[in-house]
This record gives sequence, C-alpha cells and structure tokens, in this order.
Amino acid sequence: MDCHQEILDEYVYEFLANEEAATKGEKCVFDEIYLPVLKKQGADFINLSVGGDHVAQVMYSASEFRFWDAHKKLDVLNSELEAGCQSFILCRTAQDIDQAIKEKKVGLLATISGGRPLMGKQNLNLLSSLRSLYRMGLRGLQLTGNGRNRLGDGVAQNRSRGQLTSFGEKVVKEADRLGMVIDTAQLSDAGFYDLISLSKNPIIDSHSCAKKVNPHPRNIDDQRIKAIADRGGVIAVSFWAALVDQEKEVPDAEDLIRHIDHIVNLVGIDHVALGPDYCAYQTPVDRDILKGFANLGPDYGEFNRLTPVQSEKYPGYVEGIWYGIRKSDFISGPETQESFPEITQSLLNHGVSESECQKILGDNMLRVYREVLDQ
Amino acid sequence: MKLSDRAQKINKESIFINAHDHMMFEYAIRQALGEPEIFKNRYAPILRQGSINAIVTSVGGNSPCTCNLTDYLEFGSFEQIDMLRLEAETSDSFRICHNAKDIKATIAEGKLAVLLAFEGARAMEGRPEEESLCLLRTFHRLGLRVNCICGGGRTQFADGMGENRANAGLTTFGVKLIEEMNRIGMLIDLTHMTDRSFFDSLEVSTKPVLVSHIGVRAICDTLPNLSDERIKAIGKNGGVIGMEMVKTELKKGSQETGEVVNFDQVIKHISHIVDLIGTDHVCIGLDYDNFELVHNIHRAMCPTPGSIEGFYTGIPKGDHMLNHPNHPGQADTIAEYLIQAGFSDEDIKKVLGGNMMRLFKETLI
Repeated sequence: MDCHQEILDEYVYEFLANEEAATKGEKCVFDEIYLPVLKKQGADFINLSVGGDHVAQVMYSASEFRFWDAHKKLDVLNSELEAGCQSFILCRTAQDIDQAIKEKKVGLLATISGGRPLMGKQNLNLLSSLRSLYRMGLRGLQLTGNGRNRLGDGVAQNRSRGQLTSFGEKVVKEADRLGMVIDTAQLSDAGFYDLISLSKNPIIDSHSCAKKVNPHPRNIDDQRIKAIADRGGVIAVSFWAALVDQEKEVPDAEDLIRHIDHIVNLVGIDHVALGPDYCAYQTPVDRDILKGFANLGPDYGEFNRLTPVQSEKYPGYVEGIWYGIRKSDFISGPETQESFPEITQSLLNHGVSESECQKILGDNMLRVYREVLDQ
Repeated sequence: MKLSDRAQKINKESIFINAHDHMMFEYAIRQALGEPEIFKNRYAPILRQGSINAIVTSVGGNSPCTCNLTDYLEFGSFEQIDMLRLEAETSDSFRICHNAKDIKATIAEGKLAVLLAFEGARAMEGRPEEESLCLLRTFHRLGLRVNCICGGGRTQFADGMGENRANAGLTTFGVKLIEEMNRIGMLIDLTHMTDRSFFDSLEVSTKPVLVSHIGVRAICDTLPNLSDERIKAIGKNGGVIGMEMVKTELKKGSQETGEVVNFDQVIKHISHIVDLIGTDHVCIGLDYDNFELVHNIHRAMCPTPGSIEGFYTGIPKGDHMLNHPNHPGQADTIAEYLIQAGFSDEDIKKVLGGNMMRLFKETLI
C-alpha cells in the first residue's frame, strides 16, 4: 500500500480532455494512465489525496477553490466507475476493501491533505462541506497542511501554540461519527495532542519520518509516535529526501530503513507503513504540453516534472517549511514510483522477516482502515 | 438633557473623535438605492449635532455585513472605500484623513474628519499559502489607517474571542503584519482578540495600540471585555481604550431584560480604567449600528441567533444601544455626564479626543 499519494495530475488532465468518451464508458482513462504507473510501482492500494491545503500539491489541474477542486477530482473517479471501469474500487466501507483485495482490483481510499476544502463561507463554520465530500466517497481527512487553516495550525505555525479551533473540533467529531480516517501529518504539536484527546478512533500519520533520526521540522518526535501507536494507529514513512536525511544530497533506501527501525524499536512492528508522497511520476502521457506552466523544469531536477518545492514562486519551500532544492526530492533507488519492489528487497536484506514485511507494506494500514470504516 | 455652559465650552474646545463607527452598514445600502452625497446629507448633521469632529469608520471586516454584503471581502472593502472617496473628492462636508495633521487641518476648515478602518483583517489575507502583505499596503495606500485584526473568529494572523478554544497566539504571518503596520504607519486595534493573540501582539508591536470599542470585565463580565491584566498591559504599552455604547458589553444581561442603561454605567467602566492606569488611556468608540435601514445587521446575517462567529452578544429586545445617549447625535451629552462624575475639563478633553490624537501622532505617518 502506498499510504500517501497525490492524485496523478496527468490522470485528471486526461480525463478532462476525454470527458465525453470517459463518462460514456467508451474509454477508461484510469486503465490508460494510472494502471501502468501503479503496476510499475507495485502498489495495490493507495491512500489517494484528491486535494488539500496547498495548490502546488497538484500543479496543473488544481484550483484555489479547494472545495470545488476536491469535488472535481472525486467526480473523475466516480464518473469512471459509473461508466463501467473495472480496474479499481473507491473504498467506502471495509467490505469494499475486502472486495478490492479479493478481486485483485486497485483499492483507493480518497483523502484530502489539509482541511481548507472544508472551510466554506468565511464567517460560517458549517459541516455540510465535510458531509458532501463524504457522500462523494471521501474517507480520509488530514486536518492541515504546513500552514494555518480554520481547523487548526500546521507545523510551520507552531509559533501560535494553537490547538484545534472550535470548527476543527466539530469536524473531528463528525469525521469520527461518519467513519473517516484522520491523518495527523503536517499538524502542529499542540493541534496533534488536542486531536488525540478529541478523537476516539485510531489515527494515522500518512507521510512523516522520525525526528530523532532526522530533526526536520516536518518529522515527528518519539512522544508523538508513541501517542499514535497507543491509539492503535500507524505512521507511514515519507520518501522525501528532506524528511529522510536533510544532510545528504541523495539519501537512499537504507536511510529510510533507519526511520522504520527507529519506529519499530519504539512501538513495535504493528505501527509502521510506507507513505512515499510521490509527485514525480513517469507516465504514458507526454508532459511536454504541461511544461512551462509554473515550471522551472530540468534546472531544478532531473525529472521534467514539477514537485511542490520546485515551484517558481517559493523554490525550496512548501508553505513555510524548507525542504531544499535538490537534484531529486526523493530518496535514490526509488526516485520514481517504481519503488516498492526495491524497498521490499532492502527490507529483506536488512533482516526483516516476510510476515513483518507484509505488515509494513500494507497490513498495518489496512487494519486501521477496516477498523475506522467498519464502525 | 440640557447641557451646562461648561459642557458646551468643553465640546467646543475639544477635538471629539469617535474611534469606532459603522455608518457603512447603511451608507452602502443607500448608495445602492442611488442616494447622492450620503455622508453630507445623512451623517454629517448627526455628527454635528453630537459635537463629534472625527470618526474612525469601518470600511471592511471579517464578514459580508461589513463588506458591502459580499463574500468576496476584498472586493466589498474596495467598493466601500471607493464610495466614500468618490463623495469626499467633491465634498465640502468631510475629508478622508491619513494622520493627525490631516485631522487638525480638516477640522480647521470646518469639515468633518473621516479615518478608514477594518474590523477584522480577513480582506487582507490574500492567498493562504503566500503570506503576502501586498493587500495590507494596498489598503494603506487607499487610506486605511486603523486595522482591527480580529473579528469574532479566526484569521490567518490571529484569533478572535470566538476562537478561544484553540488558545492560539499570533501566527508567523500575524507577526509580519504587525511589524509592517508599525513600519508603514497603521494603527493596530486589538478589540476582539483572544488573550494569547492579544499579549503576543503587544510583545511584537513597537508602537502603542488601540482597543477601539469595548468595556471592562470588572464592571461587566463578558467574554470580549477587558480583564484588569489587559488594561494594565495597554497602560504599559501607552495605548488607548475606546468605550462603546452597546448595552451587552456595559451591563450584563441588559439587552435581554430591556433594562434602562445610560452613560452613568459607562462612567463606571471609565473610572475603573482610570483607577488602574490613569486618564491618558481612555477614549470613546461608540460602535453604533442601530440605523434606520439596518438594525443589528451582523446579527441578522448570522445563522446562530445572538452570536457572532462563536461569541454571544445577546438577543436584544428592541434597541440594544444605551438608552441615553441613544444615538451619536446625543454624544454631546457625554461631556455633561463626565462633568457630573467629577472629571476635570482637561481629563474630559482627553477622553473625548485628546488621547486619540496623541495615539494618531505616535502611530500614523
């Protein structure tokens, strides 16, 4: 399982370019664009972000009207399914997860990486936004990006020492009631411990590493790791070079495994997973048409593909947090999505048993999903 | 109420500043109805009658009701500033002032002085991930000189009282905002802020601040009102506190009961502040919003009756303003109330406007 992936921009783009054929079922864009990517990656299940706080997360097709944007991306998935696409399931229940695994289809759990899509009208904090996205299939919820929103503060806003807002509290309680997987990635420390006291469900961190191993502001300390594990939750380690080892120009899989080791030593094997957070894919679509749009291109990396830190507005930053400008934003070996087989091999070489590998690769996170969706 | 000669003399010699005005609630509607010279015809006579020389009027804020009834708060604020500027360009009745010198010159010409303010800074947040101060500077260039950073709820800069739950201080963006306001010359108004954001702001600001319309908790224990700790902090900062004429913040529960409350009740608030930090830190910020065309517009536009973005303001029975003075047109009696309470001429002049003029001199360029 890939526990954190932004929806492929090329996929959204191609769907929109072929909207009529796709909605009529004459063409399944997912099969053409997404399946080859996932096949190379070796991923069967994805925690798929369909929007969030930062517009740069999804460069080409994103809108600053984030509520609308998240609906657009859920519509792409729903339309393909309604048109008869058989290759994936947008999981709404634990049974859907079981079915996806049984029928060897790609399982998707739709999430948002930040609560800005829920904010609605500025002077009203209404939960209709959350419920309407839930009805369209949203089952995950990361509360903040790095910055502030009307639910709480992200890690770049630790200065405020703010807990969740009254709206944040309402959202968490409603998400618990509906059965949504709450994700604490990028949330400030004060917000995190507030959330722990408010939510009754297991919670996840979909893409962070251990601060003890690499003291980057986006990473989480031992106390936070323990708090997630105590709740029966899971930490999925990010493959971002800055989070894995900020001292190295190009960290590798061994550096990533140091984080996994640290978490396993701290809280055991049942609370760790993989959350690559890739935004650099090789897809079957020729991206030349996309180049030049907010893109500094190959000067900032070897991929002809933009990641958030390569944004021309704030090179190296994502909303207040410095990630640096590197040759690649990801660890080496698995620079692209073709990663999981190599990670598995590295884990085995490192002496992790097959059954432990299975937990890390997917079973741990599936356990949480089933528990939360099934309530 | 008949004014004594002494009160009339004080009113004549004072520069009387209302530090928080909401005429745009109604002005913008009259503008849409096609009325000409609204300030001159509608508000100038009232201000003259009340002996008021200058107003700090809100032209934008955190909710549609303060921004010409649009959800696009920036546009609504630009529209309201534009309306006022258009009228001011040819008006013999008022001028839009940018600093203390402007105010004095305008009053010397026999005109009324108008300063532009926000109540809630959402209209200058811009794109959330950018932390750009371009809108702050743009509004400053258009004449905005007083910025109340919070309304009831959360902004990208700081939290209002309705958001006490988060217990958050200033954000990094909030720090930048205050530093830039200090630099370009814009007065910081801390009305409605949560404790943590309030004390953070005082730490960051190198200039004295305003709390434009409020009461004190020792007399009327409501959420927005000032604790003694806050009053002392304002004293230390050299700031000024504006006393409002909304019943809820002056006598607890008086809006619900319909009990008669007049300026004697405000005197209690003023005396409490004076006891704590002296007479150099009080002014008048009426917060009047009971207009002919719109009563309680912010409450009417809220889905939770009696509450603005999380803090309860009460459901009024009838008029929610003081029974006397009931209207800015009766503000000339404030001097008389202060005389009867034993204030000296010099102190009354400070309260009516002297303290605000000092604050303008110290903060506006």
